[in-house]
Amino acid sequence: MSSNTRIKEQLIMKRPDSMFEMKNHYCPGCGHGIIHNMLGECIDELGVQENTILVAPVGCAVMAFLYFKMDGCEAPHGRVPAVATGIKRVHPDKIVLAYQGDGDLLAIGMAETIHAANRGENITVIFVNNANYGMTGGQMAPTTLPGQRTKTTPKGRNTSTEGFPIKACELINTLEAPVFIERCSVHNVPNIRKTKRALKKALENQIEKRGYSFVEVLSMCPTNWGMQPVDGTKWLEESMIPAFPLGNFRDRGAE
Amino acid sequence: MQETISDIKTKSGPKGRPEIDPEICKGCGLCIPSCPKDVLSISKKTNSQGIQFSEYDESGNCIACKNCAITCPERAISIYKFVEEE
Ligand SMILES: Cc1ncc(C[n+]2csc(CCOP(=O)(O)OP(=O)(O)O)c2C)c(N)n1
Ligand code: SF4
Ligand code: SF4
Ligand code: SF4
Repeated sequence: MSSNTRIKEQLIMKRPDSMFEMKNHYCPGCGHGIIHNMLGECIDELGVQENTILVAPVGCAVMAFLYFKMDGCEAPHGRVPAVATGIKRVHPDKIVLAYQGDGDLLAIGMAETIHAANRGENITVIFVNNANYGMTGGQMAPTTLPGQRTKTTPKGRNTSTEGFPIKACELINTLEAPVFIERCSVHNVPNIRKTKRALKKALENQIEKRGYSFVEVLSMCPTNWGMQPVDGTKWLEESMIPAFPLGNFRDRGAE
Repeated sequence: MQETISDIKTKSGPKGRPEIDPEICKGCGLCIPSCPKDVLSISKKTNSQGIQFSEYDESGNCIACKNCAITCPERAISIYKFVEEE
């Protein structure tokens, strides 16, 4: 060991290069920010920043494209997969991301969601399931759990009048065309890492022109759940995961 | 951090450190339980927005595992690893 050996500080993790150095507008502890960061890391690793177009929803992620050094487009509420379809068909060599909340994807946008999946559009859908309408103040969403209190179900979701939570992955898994379907979560580090792996596979499928990929991410909305952020991660684990089991439903890219 | 190289070799010295941007941090506290070494906490100090931000205790116990940065919804945390340099 030479006497002039020194300790050097090596930067091993920072904000992804494909993201702007800025504060986001999400509430403290909101899962959207974590999902954005994982998406940014995947885009860096795949080197597709210059070639990617992010279609943002109406919902808390309405300005998602502001955070990425990429092209973006805003779709009317629920129409993200339709707008993404149009962009992808005109620009088949671009990587087109459809980023949506549960109100956007499963309520007003159900028709667009199902038909884009059924057509097997070569797009990547990122579905953020936080069990309520975040942006508008916490109303019931199709994914709200039975008994869950929201602004529009103050006594808890009553399944006899409001139905049951819609399981998006299971629904899309009944269709023939999709190539990749996975449900992940961002409530702790191992699951955040799995979310990143799923997002990366979903992007690779599109790059390899394999077809439609759907990644559902269970995500915290501490503000409308009326919880401290850390309690939100516990509620997600204890209440949401039993209703929305995590795992891969289909991976034809691997076949 | 003027540690000797043998500290790293014997795995007794600091492995790295988190750098938390107090202006980007929203004080959500998600990074705190993600840390296996329990070296993060919410500061008594506030940033320009009046938010109490997350702080490293400067104990030297950080192992540069990146958990806190992965968890942070703001990516307010950068991680530096200490490596030997000739
Ligand atoms: C056509 C139309 N209908 C209703 C609204 C009101 N609106 C805005 S966001 C939203 C729901 C957002 O919830 P979600 O999609 O779950 O996203 P989150 O905010 O939870 O991320 C609704 C109903 C709208 N902007 N446009
Ligand atoms: S309302 Fe919920 S989903 Fe929207 S930014 Fe706040 S925590 Fe996130
Ligand atoms: S890198 Fe790991 S050990 Fe270091 S502060 Fe972050 S979570 Fe703790
Ligand atoms: S997770 Fe990020 S924003 Fe939240 S307290 Fe820690 S450093 Fe601050």
